[in-house]
Amino acid sequence: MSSAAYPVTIEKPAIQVQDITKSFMNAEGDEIHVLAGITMDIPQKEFVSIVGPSGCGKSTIFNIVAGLLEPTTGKVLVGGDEIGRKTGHVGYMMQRDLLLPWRTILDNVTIGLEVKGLPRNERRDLAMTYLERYGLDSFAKAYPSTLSGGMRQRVALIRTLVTQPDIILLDEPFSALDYQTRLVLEDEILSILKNEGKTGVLITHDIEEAISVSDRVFVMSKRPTYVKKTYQVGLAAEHGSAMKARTDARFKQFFETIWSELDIQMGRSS
Amino acid sequence: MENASQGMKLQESKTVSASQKRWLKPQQAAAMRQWASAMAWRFIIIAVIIAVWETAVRMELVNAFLLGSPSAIVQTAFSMLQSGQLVSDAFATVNATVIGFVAGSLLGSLVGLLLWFSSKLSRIIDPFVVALNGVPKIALAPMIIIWFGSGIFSKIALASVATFIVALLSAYQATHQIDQSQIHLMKSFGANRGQIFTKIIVPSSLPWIISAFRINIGLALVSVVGGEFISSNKGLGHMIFVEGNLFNLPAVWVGVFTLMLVATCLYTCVSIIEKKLLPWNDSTQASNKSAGV
Ligand SMILES: Nc1ncnc2c1ncn2[C@@H]1O[C@H](COP(=O)(O)OP(=O)(O)O)[C@@H](O)[C@H]1O
Ligand SMILES: [Mg+2]
Repeated sequence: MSSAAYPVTIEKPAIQVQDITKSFMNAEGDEIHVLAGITMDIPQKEFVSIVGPSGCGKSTIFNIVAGLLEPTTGKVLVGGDEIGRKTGHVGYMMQRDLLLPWRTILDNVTIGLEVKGLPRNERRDLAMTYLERYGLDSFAKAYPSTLSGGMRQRVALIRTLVTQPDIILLDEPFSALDYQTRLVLEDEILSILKNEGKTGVLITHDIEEAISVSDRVFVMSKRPTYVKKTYQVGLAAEHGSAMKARTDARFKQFFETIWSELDIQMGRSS
Repeated sequence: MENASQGMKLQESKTVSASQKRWLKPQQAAAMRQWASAMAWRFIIIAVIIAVWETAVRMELVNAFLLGSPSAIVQTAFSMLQSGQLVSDAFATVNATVIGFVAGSLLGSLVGLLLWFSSKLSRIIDPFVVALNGVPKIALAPMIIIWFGSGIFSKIALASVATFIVALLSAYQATHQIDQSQIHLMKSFGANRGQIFTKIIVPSSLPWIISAFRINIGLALVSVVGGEFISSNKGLGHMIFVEGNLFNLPAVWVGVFTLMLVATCLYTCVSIIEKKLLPWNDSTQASNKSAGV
């Protein structure tokens, strides 16, 4: 099948991960095979989740897709082009919030816009609208050390969203949030992605979260890691909301199937 | 439902900031009380030392010629102030110290930071810098005085050299302590090396650089005074050296106390600069407090 034959109708997947392997050296100099060969196609405008045991290499996959880490073998295509050593093609909210302690909350949020060369006034205005939307505007001038873990995580999320990337990688974005805030933010993210036609990839250790927001769930094996199973879920898309997706009868079925697929491997997240 | 919980978030954030404000007041009051009591004790200690010293001299328990006496020191200080000698000596020393400190510290920090761009170059020169750092800088004084003469330039050069190396080493080491994930974060936004340098490397090295400044201000003063001992016609070091040779102990004491005053003022300036540059750094504020008591 050649895309040249159907130049208009066939959309390239947003992200193509093609048979990626990754090994690390540990302290003793032994090679540790983390990724055994990951292949994933993430279609445009879909919201997909990756679940898998702690330490199986989920964050490593994100680092490779974002261009921060080179795979041992295999390649990543974004929008049909190989990423090579390029970075900046995806918005990436990392597992740690990484707020810069010397910058105020406002200046932390604007850092991506600064890198992209947006004028000072524009980036401040844009950042303030986002901070207001997430109830953090009163902390614009505060330093990160004065914020709670949940607040810091929301700031990190805003820092990623404010650059308005077409593809967003979210590595356990809600882990420090209380249950209610998490539900609200899941729906918020979902509507941002759907309204603006963006592609999202979510790493989570919360199976319910994965089922309630995703079009598709990738379940990872334990190390050396491969994609064990892929589930077409799509409840959120059907109901238009992650919260409503949780009330669907199929929700529980998906939960039980994915849970058994992960069974006891699913330890606590790191 | 969504609106309600967002409203809850807003309330939660307001109460946090309000309670933070309420927290500060008793803490500040306690800090003020501690400071006042420490100051009172300091005055008492000084008063007791002066009283004991003066009494001991008057009762001829100690030799006034070898030790000087508070009253003679005050008299000498007044006459040196009136003649303008003390001020001009102090000015010469402070001038050379500040210029040498600023030049050496800024240049050293800059070079140390810029080495981040070339790990190869920094690996090559690393042992040289370490070796230079190990040399007591005052050993360079005779050479520097031969090159720059006995005027202020040799003192500035001495202070610059001493502070340059410490600043370079701290800045260079600071760039190696940086959280690699912060660099990853910048890269994920597509930042180039220049942007990573100005937005991550420089600001996160700043606490190290500033703490080198604290060491350097003392080093600069020691270098200048040492240089003045060896060869000069001005400055507090010169004055102390000359008066010491004349066995004029009260004048030596005046010089020593003026140096103490100068050192305290310079340290205070560096601390003020530190607070201005690192408003986010709680730990430095804490260490200021503990160092201040
Ligand atoms: N830079 C690295 N050097 C060595 N080992 C690493 C590195 N990054 C990750 N690892 C190892 O790879 C494995 C997977 O890590 P990670 O991707 O963070 O897992 P997950 O996000 O699924 O919990 C872990 O065992 C971790 O120790
Ligand atoms: Mg992880």
